[in-house]
Amino acid sequence: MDNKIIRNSSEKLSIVVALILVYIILFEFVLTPVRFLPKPSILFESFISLWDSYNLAVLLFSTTSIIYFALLLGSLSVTFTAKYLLKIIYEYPGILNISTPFKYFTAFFFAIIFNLWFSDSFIAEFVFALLFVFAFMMSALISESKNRREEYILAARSLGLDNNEIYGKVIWKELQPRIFEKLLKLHVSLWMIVLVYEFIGQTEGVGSLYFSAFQYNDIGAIIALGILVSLLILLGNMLIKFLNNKIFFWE
Amino acid sequence: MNIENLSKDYFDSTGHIVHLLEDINLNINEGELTSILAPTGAGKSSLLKIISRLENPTSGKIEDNSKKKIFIPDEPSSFPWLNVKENILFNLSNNNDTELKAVISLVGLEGYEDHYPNNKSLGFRFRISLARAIMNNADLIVIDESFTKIRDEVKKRIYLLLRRVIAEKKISFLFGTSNISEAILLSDKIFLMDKNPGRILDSFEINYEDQLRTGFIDSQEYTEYRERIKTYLTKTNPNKIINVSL
Repeated sequence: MDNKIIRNSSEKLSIVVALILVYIILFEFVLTPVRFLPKPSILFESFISLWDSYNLAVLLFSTTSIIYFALLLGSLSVTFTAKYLLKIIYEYPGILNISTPFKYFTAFFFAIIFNLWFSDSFIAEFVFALLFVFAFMMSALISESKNRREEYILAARSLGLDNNEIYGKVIWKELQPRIFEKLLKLHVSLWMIVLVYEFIGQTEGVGSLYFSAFQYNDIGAIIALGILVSLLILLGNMLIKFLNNKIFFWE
Repeated sequence: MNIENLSKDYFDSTGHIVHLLEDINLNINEGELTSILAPTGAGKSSLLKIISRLENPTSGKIEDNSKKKIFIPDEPSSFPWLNVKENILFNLSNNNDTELKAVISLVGLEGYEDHYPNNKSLGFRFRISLARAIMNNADLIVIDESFTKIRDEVKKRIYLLLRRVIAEKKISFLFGTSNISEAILLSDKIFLMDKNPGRILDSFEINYEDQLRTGFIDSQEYTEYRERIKTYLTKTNPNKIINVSL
């Protein structure tokens, strides 16, 4: 299994290295006048200018704090209220219909609305990210709640547990690994929606940096930033996978 | 426990009433293993759940003197996020260490206390469920066809384990199965059940001098019991009980 993972990773790494080499050869020496990708040397300079001219460190700190605190707080709040959320899902499913009118509005729409209501507010951006995490996890909980294993519930009921105890001690424990597996998708979506939020409102963060680079037509900075963000997402996903494997070892 | 005229009806997806169980009469004696031998789809699981008070019957009377009944579903229900010891002590507030050790030893899980049931065999997981039921001081353990997917060699060891638990703990067992051999090897009494609707056809007492039933499978008595039940089924209800292998 481990050998397979190492083989897959080295295959992927070889492809990335090959693509970088092709890019350097093509855009540094062969296709120099082409505009849609910068020369590798310019891209390298852009990486440096991101830290010097665009104040990347502060903006990156702001965006990552919002993303990872929202992810942590959202996960913890779902974990601590899971028993009650499951009670609502199984016993009062009608309450969930309240969310139906909002179901087809995109997160982009809510990003604009939040920006209009609370312009340039760090707290509002954090609350927006937190609501996104909570809504995502709630939707995962609703869809996974249909896949519970009946034999666990029968065994627990037979051992004298009431419904409330079964929600907390059995169903939530059973669903937890599958809910937290979805954090990988949530993590990528959250990065996207927070960047969009900051781009729209030009609030302090990586999204506003994208806006500035876009205004100055700085394709080098845009691509350098794209690479940096994708690396951060990759590292974040690796960390989430690692934690999931450690915490939910039985899956 | 005495069950009189028990019935269970339900509405199918087209809105028609289905008589799943009809006029069930049976009794379970203390410290014995009683089997319900029925084909798949006869309503055996529903009957076992009704007796375990996990479902309600449509009508009928259950005279019940047992204080604690534990139901073990067809897929053994040890929780994968808890280790063997935690599974056995699940939901128990006061645990007696000496008793726990004795139960773990009885079911053959000594040395596995810290192991997790994921990736373990069905037989292993069944032992956990059984130990949990014993620790909960169950006086009736209801087992719903838990051995179907277990290898024959492991099955034999589990049969012996169940007979040992009966001998040592005097716990009553109710066991649902569609396997004639399994029913004969394990039971003190077998109730034969038909399907569409599920009704009790007859009952058979199984007697063997050794309480643990060691050597029973190779005995003349075992062959005779099997032939008797098979002949009965061929005469009264051909082709209904499908699995006759060990």
